[in-house]
Amino acid sequence: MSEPTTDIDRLQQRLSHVREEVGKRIVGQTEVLEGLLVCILADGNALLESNPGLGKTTMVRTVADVTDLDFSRVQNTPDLMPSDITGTEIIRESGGNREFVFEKGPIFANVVLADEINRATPKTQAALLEAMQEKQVTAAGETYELPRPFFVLATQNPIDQEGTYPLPEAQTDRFLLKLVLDYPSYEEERDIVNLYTGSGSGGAAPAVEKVLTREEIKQIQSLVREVPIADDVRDRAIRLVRATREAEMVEFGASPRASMGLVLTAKARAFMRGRNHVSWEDVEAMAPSVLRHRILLDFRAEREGLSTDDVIAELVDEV
Amino acid sequence: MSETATPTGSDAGDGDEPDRPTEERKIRQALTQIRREGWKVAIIYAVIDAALATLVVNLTATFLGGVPRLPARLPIPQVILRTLRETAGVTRAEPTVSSAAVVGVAVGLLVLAVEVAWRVRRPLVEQFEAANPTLQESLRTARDAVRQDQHSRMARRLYESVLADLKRASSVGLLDMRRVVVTVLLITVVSVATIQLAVVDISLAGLGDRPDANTPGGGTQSEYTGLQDGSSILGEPEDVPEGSEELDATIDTSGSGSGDGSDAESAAAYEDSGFSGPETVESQRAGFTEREQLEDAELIREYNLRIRQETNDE
Repeated sequence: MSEPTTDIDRLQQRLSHVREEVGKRIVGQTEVLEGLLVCILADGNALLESNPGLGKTTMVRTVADVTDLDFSRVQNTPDLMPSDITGTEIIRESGGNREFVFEKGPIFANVVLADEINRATPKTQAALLEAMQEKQVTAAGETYELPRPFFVLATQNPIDQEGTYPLPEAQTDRFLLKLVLDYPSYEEERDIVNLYTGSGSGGAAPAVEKVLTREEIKQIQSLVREVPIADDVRDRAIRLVRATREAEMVEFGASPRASMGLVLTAKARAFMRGRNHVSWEDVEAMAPSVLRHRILLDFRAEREGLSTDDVIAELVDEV
Repeated sequence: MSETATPTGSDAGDGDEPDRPTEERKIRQALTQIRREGWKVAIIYAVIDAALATLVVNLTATFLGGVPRLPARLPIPQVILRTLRETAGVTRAEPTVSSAAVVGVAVGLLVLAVEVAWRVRRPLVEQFEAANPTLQESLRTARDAVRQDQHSRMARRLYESVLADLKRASSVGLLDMRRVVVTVLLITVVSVATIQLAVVDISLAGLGDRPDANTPGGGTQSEYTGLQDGSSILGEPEDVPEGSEELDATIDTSGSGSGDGSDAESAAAYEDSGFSGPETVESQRAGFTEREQLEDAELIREYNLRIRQETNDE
């Protein structure tokens, strides 16, 4: 690897090093990993949908490990209260005095994995999403800033929907990306088995190196917003989002927040790939993740067996 | 065409935009240079196409014998003649020009103007981007960033990268060399055909030659004053037989300047018998067929005597 000539080169090299380190623990899933990193660089949050056992917790924990970020996990259940996430005031006795102190909840971490968010009650979901949006928590009249960088990864299970509280569209819109984990290929699954069941591993995850600090992540987040984008690429991205509102088989299209998200994630992807400008290829690559949870298909699409990704692909070809 | 050299260091035009960062200023200058290269390419195409159109129209009109509804030759305006005389010192003995050439030049100028306008209708930088696909997105982004006065770290980095790429890029891609070579070859062929047509003076029978003025002999008099076939002026060349027959000639010198009456004798002898040689000598044009017969020497003598007689009587 050549000697970095500038700080930007160095940061871009660090990012590729992050992927290498995560690759020590996660086999395959390169697109999802890229989506996770894009989400961190764009200072957004992601909704991760997958069947159980595909390694999403391991992936998020590994990303936190290589990036020197605090990690916490919340397992959502119907009896989970908002204060269980955000924290609450408790009475603490010291020296005969009693005082209320705020006990921070698991949301006070850089990376928060909210497992099966659709199993939490709407009230708890709202508390989590509000914290995610505002980057702060208010309890007993006091406002507490969440640590930066702050990144929520919420997962939901596409099967076994009984007793769940699906997120309303207005709340899913707050997630920058929706990433979908699919089953690994045969070769990838074989490598996973070898990696975690071999004699050398002892069942533990392989060690990874911290290669990116919090300060560097903040610098990158700032640089990502400075990545230039050509007017026609930006306009085309906006046309793509607007097309979701006019498409025949779409009942509910994406909001302007989707346009902002599409351009921002395209910038993050371009930066991560070492480019100094946004290419249409970046917009195309990020469009499904940005749009798939923001549009609702109508009965015609369902009748024809089209998924949201199919409709998005058609719209990308059209604009 | 040359490589699109980007301004560097001292030639970056420091005086015109001192407040702008160097990279941004260089990008602006590079864009100006790219537009200039685009104009060059448009003009190159237009000039060779116009030249070809001029020659083809001229050749066709000449071959057909002229331009319909126009005289074979058109007068050159006095303004042009005067300008030529005053600026270049050129004077024309005949202040006319072939109507075929005039129409050819007019068509050529029209082709030139239309083609230049047609080729520059699409933004020249976009044409350059299309000719250099590897630069397309980055150059376009840099162009937009410069227009929006972006000076961020990433924008400056993009400018540096684009400038480095431009140093390796070339505007030669804008020019289709095969097309240029083919057009130049066509120009050469049509030029040669034009010269050949002028030399052999071929014209499509009946279409061009109009009997503007009848010659006394009933033939037509062409107004063409350019290059003509030499044989039509001097006649068909023939071999002149070398004189092999020896003739004896006696020259009487008795009456030359002596003042003793020998002049009178000589004149009387001429009056009596005319020119007396041992053989009749006929004049002949050297190298060419005699085209007209000399009058009979006897007839000349007769006229001379009569004239002299009348003079003496007076």
